[in-house]
Amino acid sequence: MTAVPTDVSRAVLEKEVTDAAPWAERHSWELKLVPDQLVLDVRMRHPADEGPLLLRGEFVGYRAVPPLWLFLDSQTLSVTPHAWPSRGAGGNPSSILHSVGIICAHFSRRAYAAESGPHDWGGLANWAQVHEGVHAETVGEMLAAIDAHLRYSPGRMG
Amino acid sequence: METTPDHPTETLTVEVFAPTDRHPRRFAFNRTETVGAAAESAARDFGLHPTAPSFEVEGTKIPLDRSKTLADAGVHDGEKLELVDVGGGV
Repeated sequence: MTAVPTDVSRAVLEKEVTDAAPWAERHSWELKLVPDQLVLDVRMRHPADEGPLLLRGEFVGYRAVPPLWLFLDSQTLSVTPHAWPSRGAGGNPSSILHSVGIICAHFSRRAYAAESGPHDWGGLANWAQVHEGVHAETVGEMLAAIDAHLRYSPGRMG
Repeated sequence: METTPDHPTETLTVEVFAPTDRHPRRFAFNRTETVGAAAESAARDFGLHPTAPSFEVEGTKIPLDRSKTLADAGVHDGEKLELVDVGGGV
């Protein structure tokens, strides 16, 4: 992992989360930042079944590398098919939610080959320069992008 | 310019919210401008670089058709709009 001082990542994360807070409030998404762990927990309702969803962002090395975004089971904090929204058929031409464990977008660390994902995109450090599919460079944009795809999800992966 | 219901002004003023900014910004667009072009302009003003910018009327969660003019998309003067990237997945 790229060596970015924790203090630097934390300062950037705190600013971006503060800036994203009004968007989250308008969309009824709850943000809980744990600055010392560089973790952002985001809670929202699934638009189809209205059940709770927990989206966790881990920001070690941010902004040299993109965050790790995962939907987690709120009890076990593990990735499960039921915790993961299924892809939607309408709206966007394709979804960033097509595989359990991977938000398939350039701002998602798990999408990269270096993290066993399907894309190279010039490596993790190139993430902000990638323009393929939806584009997001800050926490607020990332949340809005995930929301734009989540809203078409008909249910869960399992 | 004097306005009547049949002859509205050529421009409309809207308030745009972005996911990165605590405060909305006010923009004046020509009614005949496309949603995509207007959203691109607003995104640039916010310093954003979305792949396929569009707007949603606040509270609707339905992105406007980027190819339509603001007028044809039903955007009204004084509308509150949310900037959204409707770019797809990969």
